[in-house]
Amino acid sequence: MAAEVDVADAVRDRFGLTWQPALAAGILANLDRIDVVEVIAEEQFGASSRATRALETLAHQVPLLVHGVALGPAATAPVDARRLDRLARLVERLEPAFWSEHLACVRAGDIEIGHLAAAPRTGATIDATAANLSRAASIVGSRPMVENIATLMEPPASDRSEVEWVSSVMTASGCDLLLDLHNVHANSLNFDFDQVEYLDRLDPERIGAIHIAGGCWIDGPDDERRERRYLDDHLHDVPDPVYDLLVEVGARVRRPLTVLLERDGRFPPMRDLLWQLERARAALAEGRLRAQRDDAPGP
Amino acid sequence: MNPFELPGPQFLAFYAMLGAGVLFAVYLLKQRAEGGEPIRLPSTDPYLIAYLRGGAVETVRLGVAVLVDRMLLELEDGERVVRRDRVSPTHGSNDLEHAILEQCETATHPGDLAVSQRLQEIARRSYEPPLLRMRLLADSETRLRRLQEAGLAIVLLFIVAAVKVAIGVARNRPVSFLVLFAFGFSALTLFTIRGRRTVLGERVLGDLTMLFDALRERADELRPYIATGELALLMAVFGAGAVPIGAFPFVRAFRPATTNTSSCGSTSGCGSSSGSSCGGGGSSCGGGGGCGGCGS
Repeated sequence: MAAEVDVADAVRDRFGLTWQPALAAGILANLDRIDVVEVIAEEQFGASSRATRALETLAHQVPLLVHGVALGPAATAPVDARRLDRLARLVERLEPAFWSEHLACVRAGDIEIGHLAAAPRTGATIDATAANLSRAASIVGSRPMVENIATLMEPPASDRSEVEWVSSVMTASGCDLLLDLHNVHANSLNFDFDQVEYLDRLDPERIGAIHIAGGCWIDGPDDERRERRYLDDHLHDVPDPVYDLLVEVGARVRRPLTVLLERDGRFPPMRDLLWQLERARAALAEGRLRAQRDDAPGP
Repeated sequence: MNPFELPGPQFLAFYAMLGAGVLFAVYLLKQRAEGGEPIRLPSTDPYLIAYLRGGAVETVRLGVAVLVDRMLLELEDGERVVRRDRVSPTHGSNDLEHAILEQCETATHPGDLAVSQRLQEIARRSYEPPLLRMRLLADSETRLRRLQEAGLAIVLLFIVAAVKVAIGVARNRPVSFLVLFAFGFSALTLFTIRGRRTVLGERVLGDLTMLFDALRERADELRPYIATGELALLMAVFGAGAVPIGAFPFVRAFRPATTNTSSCGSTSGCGSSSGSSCGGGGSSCGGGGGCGGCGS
C-alpha cells in the first residue's frame, strides 16, 4: 500500500473522457473522478460561436485536450492550410494541454474518404508525414501528439511493419505518441501480431497519452473466405486485453500519462464509464508499481 | 445645426437616434462593468446553478428532487413526500437538505416545500453569498451602479424631450409623439439594466444551457435512483420542466398547473416535458451500425 502511495505521488497520471454532449451532465457531475476532457476538433469547426464559448467555459472547469480526426497528415499531399488555420484558432481559444491528430490519410485530392485510412508504410510517407506535421506545428503553434490508427486492411505497397512506420514518423517529426491501445489490440487481432512486442518496439519516453476504447467482431466482405474482422467502433466497453496492455505501458513509461476513454455512442450509464476509468487507473498503477519493483535494488 | 430647430418628424428621427445611442451606451457600460472571463464554476454543485437560474424557489425544488432520488424521501399517496423510516435530517449533505428532511417528518406536498419561507431563507443564506462573490449575481453595488447609469440616461432623454416640448407648446405644435418616445426609451433603458444576474452570470448560465443541451434531449433516458447527479444538473440548468414525469412523478408538483403550456422557468428554455419516459430507446447494445471502423 505504501508503495502504491509512492507511485501515486511520483507520477501524476490523468484520466478522462472524450466530450460528448450526451455525457455532459455525467462528466460535470463527476469532475472529482475525471481529470481531463478531450474535445474533437472537427465537431467545433462548424459550431456556433456560442457553442465554442460554452467550451471555453468548460475549459475553466476541467483541462481540455483537442483531438483532430480529419487533418490527414499521413499523406504525400500537404495538409489543408484552411483546416490548420481553424485548428489554430480553436487551440488558441481553448488553450488545451496538448492537441493530437491521427497518423492517417483521409482524402485523395479533393475527395474525402470519410474514413481514417492507413497510408502505405514507406520511407516516402514517413518523410511526407513528418513534413505535414512540421507544417501543422508551425501554424498551430505546438507539435501535435500523433495517434496510431486501426485498420481493417494492410495498406498496399508497404515495405515495413506498422510499429516501425509509427516509430520512424515519431523520430522524423519529433512528435510524441498518443498510443491508442485498442487500435493496437484491434490490429493485432486482424493481422496476428504480438501486442506486447509492439509496445517493446516503441520508445517509451515518447509515449505521452493513451486512448482506450471498445470494439466488436464483424463479418468480412462477402467473398469466399468471409474472414471476420475486429472493428474499433468506440461503441462497446473496453475489453480486458486493453487493460492488460495498459499495465504493460505503466511498466515501461516513466513520464506522467493522460489516459482517455473514447466512447462515441450507445452510451451506458455514467457509472459504467467511470468504472472503466477506475479500471484504467488501477491498471496503470499496477504497471507503475511493477516498474518500481523492477527498479528496486535486489536484496 | 441646432437640433431643436428641426421640424417635428425630423426631430423625432433625431430623438430616436439619440435614444438608441443612449440605450447602446447603457448596454455597453453594463457589459464592461459586469462581463469578464468565466471563472471556475462549482459545476459539481447543482444547487448553486439552480440558485443562479431561478433563485431560492428553484433551489428548494432541486433539494426535494435530489432527496427523493437518493431515497431519503419517499412519495406518499403519490403526491406528498415524507422522510423514509430510519432516515434522519443529518443524512442530508448540506444545510438545505437537512432542513427539507426536518420539514418532511410528516408528509408534505412538494409544492408547499418550494414556497416555504424557512427553506427559501436557508437556500438564500447558503447559495447567494458565493454567487455574489463570483460576480454571477448582481450585488447592491452593482444594482446601484446600474440605476445611476440608467438614471443619467433617462434624465438626458427627458431634458432633451422637455426642451423640445416647451418649444413645441410655445409654437402650438403637437408633442404627444415625443412624449411617448421619451417614456418609451426610458422604459427600454430600465429594461436594459434589469435582472438579478450579472452579464457574467448570464453568460455562464447560457454556456451551461449550451453544454447540457444534449442531456435535455435524452432526459427521457434518465432513470430514478441511479443517476442523481445527472438528474440534479438537468433540473438545475433547465428546471423541473425538463425532468420526465413518467420516471420522476413528484416533479409534477413543481410545474405550472396549466396544461399544454410552456413549463419553463424564468430562463434557459424548457426541457422536453413530454411526460412519459419509461421504456424509451435507451442506450443498450444491439441494432444500429457502428461508425464503420473509423479506426480512430
